[in-house]
Amino acid sequence: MTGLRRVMCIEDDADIRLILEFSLATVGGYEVLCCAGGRAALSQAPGFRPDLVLLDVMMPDLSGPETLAALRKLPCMDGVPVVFLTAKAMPDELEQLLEHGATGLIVKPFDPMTLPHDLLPYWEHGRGGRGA
Amino acid sequence: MAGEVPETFDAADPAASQPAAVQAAFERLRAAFIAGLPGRWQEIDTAATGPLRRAALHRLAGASGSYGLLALGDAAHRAERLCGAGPSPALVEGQAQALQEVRLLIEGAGFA
Repeated sequence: MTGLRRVMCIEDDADIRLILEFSLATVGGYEVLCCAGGRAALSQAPGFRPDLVLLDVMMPDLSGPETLAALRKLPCMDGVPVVFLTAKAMPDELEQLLEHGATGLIVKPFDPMTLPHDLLPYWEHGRGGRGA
Repeated sequence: MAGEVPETFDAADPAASQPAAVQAAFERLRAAFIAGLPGRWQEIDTAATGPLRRAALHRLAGASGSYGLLALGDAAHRAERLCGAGPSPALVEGQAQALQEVRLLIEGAGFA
């Protein structure tokens, strides 16, 4: 069985990057690459070839939706699930975010002990989209 | 294997399902986050503009809950929303109260 292995996190806050890395690498056992912004992620995605991307919405250099649009143009991102990470919890705002083409949403605060488990449905969704 | 839920995973109490070393690693991260909270308050308190203050509150709101500081995260989220609203006198008072709540939670020793 091929499992979810490589997760790229794009998040500008250093404390959240730390807890993401702890959650996904230490708790989940994934290979994790954390980027502090969208531009760094765009340059590192082809080398890392993520199976799933966790993407913050509010970032200073490129916003989450802008980063998502740029990531989708990379060949290595074809069919890769992208999950927004957002503190915005109003239903209309969440719907608007999904309209940008994300696979799903994780609302902050997330539980670092359950996040690896919570990502699996999105990974399965992406695998189905690739016909695997 | 990565991507598979451990057999011992208990969804009702996920932290307790983790080995002691993982729980200890989380406690170290949490302690470091708490140690950095006074600096976070300084950033909020001395922000030169409203958008900078909102951004600092947004980061605090996003991170606190994941480190188990749910009341602080909620207070920072309320303050962020109020600081983004218009400058009516009633809202200014509400903003001050929300910021005071954030400050008191940061200064409190209850979560250390």
